[in-house]
Amino acid sequence: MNNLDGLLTRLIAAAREPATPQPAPSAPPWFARSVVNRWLAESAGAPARSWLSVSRSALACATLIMLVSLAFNFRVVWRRDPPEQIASDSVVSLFLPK
Amino acid sequence: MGNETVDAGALLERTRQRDPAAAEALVEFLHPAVMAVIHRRLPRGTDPQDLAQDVFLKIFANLDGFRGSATSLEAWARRIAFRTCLNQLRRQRSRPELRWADLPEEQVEMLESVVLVSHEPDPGQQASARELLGALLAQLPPKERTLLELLELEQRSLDEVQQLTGWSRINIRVRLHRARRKLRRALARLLKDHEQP
Repeated sequence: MNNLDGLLTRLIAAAREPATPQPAPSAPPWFARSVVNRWLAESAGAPARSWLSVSRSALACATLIMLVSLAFNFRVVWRRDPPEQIASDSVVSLFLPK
Repeated sequence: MGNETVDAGALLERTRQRDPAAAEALVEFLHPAVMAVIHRRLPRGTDPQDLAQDVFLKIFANLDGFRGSATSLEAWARRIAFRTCLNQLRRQRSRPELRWADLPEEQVEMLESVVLVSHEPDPGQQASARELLGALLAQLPPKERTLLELLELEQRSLDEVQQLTGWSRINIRVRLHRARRKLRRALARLLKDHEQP
């Protein structure tokens, strides 16, 4: 293990470059303009995108509510009684004393 | 320095108000700091200007949330550049395990003379050592690999690394320990491969 540590240290030392700070190249003339144009275009499209995400969330919520209500009313939906009987049962249940 | 600080602060304010001229000047001002990070950590096959564009778009997108002073603006931009490079590295597949048989002749010579016998490396061997170490590092996860490059190869101080990465000192130490262990394993596999032809 120690031997391997020594080998690794020697490899790293051999690979080490002298730290000479290199001046970073200046930006090409088109660069700043292009970045700013993209930023402004994207930020102009941002409200539309936020509306899109709001409407997606609303759709997801509505679907969820629909599924939950379907689960609660599962027995009624899948009941095989004729529709007239279901309607009369509903009316009777409305007027029954609680 | 004083004037630069005042200018950066003013540019920041005007850019927040969507002033295109100020935004362009801000890009020019921050470009050297961003490119210094990108050039060091550029993932292979990536265009530096494309990556720099992504960095600046992230800077602009988060400008309203930046609460630091104008003097910390460059450090903040460097950190965003660093994280963008890390994300880019993450998208790349890690390189396959390195086999002794795949090593070019110069790297074998360098390993035998510099690493195994500990001769002083000549400039050609230094380049080979850099390539070999790069190939070994490419097998590590991006965060660990970058940390080894910063601390071991570039010999940056812990404070500098902390400022660039935004990670805590303890986090850096733990990751460095893990990275060294993985690199040691990768080297061991390579040497074992050599011992058992």
